[in-house]
Amino acid sequence: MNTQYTRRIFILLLLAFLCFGAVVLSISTGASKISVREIISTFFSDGHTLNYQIIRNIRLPRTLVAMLAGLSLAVSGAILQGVMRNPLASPNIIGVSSGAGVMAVFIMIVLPDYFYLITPGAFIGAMLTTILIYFLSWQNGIRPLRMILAGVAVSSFFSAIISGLMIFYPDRVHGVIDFMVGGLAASTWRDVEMIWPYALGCFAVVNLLANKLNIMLLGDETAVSLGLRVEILRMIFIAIAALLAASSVSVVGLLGFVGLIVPHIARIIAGSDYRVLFPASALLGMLLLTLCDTLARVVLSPADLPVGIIMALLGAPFFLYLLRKGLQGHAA
Amino acid sequence: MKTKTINKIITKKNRAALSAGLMLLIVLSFAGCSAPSELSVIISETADSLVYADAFGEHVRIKKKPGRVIALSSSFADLWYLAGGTIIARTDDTTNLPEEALEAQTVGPIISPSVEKIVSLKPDLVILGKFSAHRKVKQILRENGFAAVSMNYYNYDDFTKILDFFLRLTGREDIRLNVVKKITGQVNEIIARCRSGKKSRVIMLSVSPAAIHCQTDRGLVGDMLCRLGAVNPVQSPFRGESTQVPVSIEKVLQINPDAIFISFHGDIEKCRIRLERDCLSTPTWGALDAVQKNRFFFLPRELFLHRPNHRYPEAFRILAGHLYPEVFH
Amino acid sequence: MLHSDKVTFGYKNFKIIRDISLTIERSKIYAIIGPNGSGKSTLLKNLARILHPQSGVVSLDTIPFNKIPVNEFAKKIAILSQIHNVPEDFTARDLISFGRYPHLGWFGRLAKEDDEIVDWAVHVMRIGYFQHRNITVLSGGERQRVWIAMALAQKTAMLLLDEPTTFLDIAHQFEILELIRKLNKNFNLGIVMVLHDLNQAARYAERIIVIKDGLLYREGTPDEIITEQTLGDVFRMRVRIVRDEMHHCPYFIPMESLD
Repeated sequence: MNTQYTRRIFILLLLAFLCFGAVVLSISTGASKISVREIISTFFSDGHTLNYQIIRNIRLPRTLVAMLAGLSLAVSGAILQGVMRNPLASPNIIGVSSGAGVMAVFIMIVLPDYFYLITPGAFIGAMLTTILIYFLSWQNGIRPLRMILAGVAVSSFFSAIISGLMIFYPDRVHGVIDFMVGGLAASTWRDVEMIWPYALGCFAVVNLLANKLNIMLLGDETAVSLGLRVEILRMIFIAIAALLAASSVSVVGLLGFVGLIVPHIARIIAGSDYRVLFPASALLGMLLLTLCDTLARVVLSPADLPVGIIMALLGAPFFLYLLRKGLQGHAA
Repeated sequence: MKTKTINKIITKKNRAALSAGLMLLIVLSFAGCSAPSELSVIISETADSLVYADAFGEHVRIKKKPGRVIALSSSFADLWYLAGGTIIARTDDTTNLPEEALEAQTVGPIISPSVEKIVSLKPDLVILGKFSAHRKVKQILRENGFAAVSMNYYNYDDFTKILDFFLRLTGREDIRLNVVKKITGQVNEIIARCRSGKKSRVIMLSVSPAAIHCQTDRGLVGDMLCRLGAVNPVQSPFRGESTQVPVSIEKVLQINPDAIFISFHGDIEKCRIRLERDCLSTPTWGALDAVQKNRFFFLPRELFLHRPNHRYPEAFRILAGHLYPEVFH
Repeated sequence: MLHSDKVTFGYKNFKIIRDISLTIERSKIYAIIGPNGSGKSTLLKNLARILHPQSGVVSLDTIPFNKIPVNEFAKKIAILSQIHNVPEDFTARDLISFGRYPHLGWFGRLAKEDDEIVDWAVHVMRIGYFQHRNITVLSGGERQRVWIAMALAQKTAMLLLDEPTTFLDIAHQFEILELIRKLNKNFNLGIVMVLHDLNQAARYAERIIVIKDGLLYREGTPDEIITEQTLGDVFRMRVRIVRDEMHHCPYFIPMESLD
């Protein structure tokens, strides 16, 4: 019992340490060469030197966005896989991605002059779509399967709208594709401001509720027997998952991989107990997204690859490898 | 017991109404927002700088005669050189790129340039396109105090406006008098001569390996044809902004245009096959007036897919010749 | 004690159980029997507050359910369901510890007394030798013991079980039922269980509730219920009733179907 506890603490510390390393790597990598000493000096100077601009206004916000988005999407996926009791659940399922996508694409294509509405619009679109899917699947309570099916239907509907729009405005298509693949290029401090309140606030709340999610994993009837208000909790968890995902997706685009695969990897490493799984998913999400974004900047420099591509290319085989090794299996 | 209250709100009857309400809410959330009013115009000018409202409506102050200029789209590079400027960096996109610009270093592909690289080159002016990837790049450049403008280049109108703006920056009045006046003069002359000709109804087909669409007046060629007096019955459905519309051959038959212009987008062989399969081999195609009178024309890429820029007179002349053979031999 | 007053449950036009009024006294073992689809499980779930009656009231110690906070209720009544999902890496002890949830504070940490209660449950259900193994490697019988231990750790006055023996072989069925009887005798734990096997009901229950077509058919002692009349009426079987003198209960031998 004690060994399990210490093992979990050790894993979390290891992940945190790796995260720190990833952050340092991210800040020191880029199209121009800047040494570590110069990096540290920019934190103390308030100047307008070139290095200051690059580190403070380009690399630092980008690294922060990568960390916060990685945290948000991974934790969102972890929540949904527990609430839906389905290993394939991810923020896409509750309509966050399709809602954000259709709004963002609509603005980019039909109302390009309202470009400043893209981020808040995507956020609102994501939340409203989640509420819509929640309504559609309500029948004396939410049965997870109904919600998944409703999500699939709504996503298909919105995808059709997006495809239709792309046919009429072919010259505006590549911006759309950028968004749909998901990328951190040109992240600004405003993007950081968009994500951090939701990321940190929701993460704090969800850790307080972690044990309740553990019990919900055992089945609705067992959870009720133990005194949980299952429907209310489900609504709260879905709302938190939606907030986390919506704030990230509206800034970063539709990064599908993080929410789906990172919780599984975290589960294999750290176990299914949500009191450990939440922090583990968060750290792992931060770590992976930051590393992959750094790689995306370096691989075909000076081209800035969308990070979603790198994540899928590297992450999927790695996940398959872990599955085959079957370290601890995955949650039912 | 909260379940019961939620149950009362979401009954079967309510559900449709609630969903519709939500969708409406999503759409209406835009109602209170306004678009910037002035786009792509010069706001004010002094002896050594000017303030320009770019394609997103942002006011940018630019010092005249900028020495270090980066153009992220080759069309703008071309126009900039036409106006007498030079660039220090560009993107990988090389269509329409003037020879002299080829040796400039690149900052990445056009859809994902490296902001860091751009910043490290300390440019006096950065010229970007209007799409979203560039918009984000512009945001960072502006936050770091660089002069960065997003430009929109759709058609001939934009050509003259952008060229005027660039000329004010380079101060090359000699180019304005000799080169630009000559181009616009020739174009205006062609347009004037067309007035005497018999008007035609035309459609433009954009052929890609996957599909065939019709262009509207908003696109490059459509705009040119419109100026030359041709009538395009295919209009864009949404706010007049879209540049192409999917249209069936049946509809083309119904329109029965006097002339058909065809341009290829993508691999030429595959486009030819697509055209063959969808149009040329069908019996309806042969029944078209335009086909029978041999008035369907293939448009060369370098003038009609890419912006013709200084070759506008040539492009207009070709189109006018097709439209009014009796006026232009 | 649990009391249901004219409880009806079903969906819009279709009622599963109708107008069921009965009283479950403390510290006794009850069995609910009936043909498939008669509404036994539905009744049990209404008594356990998993389902809410459309009309009628269920009350505990004369307080109607909806006036009892959910958390308080969980300290008084526990239900063991049929279907279980468990993540593969939870150990038996982890699961049993969840039984303490209704008694824990906001942060959900186990105090020393909680650990002692878990130890006690482990001891009573005799699972000490595998308490640290993952649930999924246990056999059906062992797993059922773990779930009962979890309900035990909840330290309620009453335990409701939905077909606790259905998927077990006869040795494990016997073992579970003996354990349940021991829990009732030694710890005064009230038991209500839905059973398929009528002979088991006859042997282990003090009172039997018979449900037929969603209605309460009859309630009584095993001797009163396990009769040719009742079994013929409710189960459409002609039977021969025999007395088991060693265990002081009747049992039936099926003769032929009446349909």
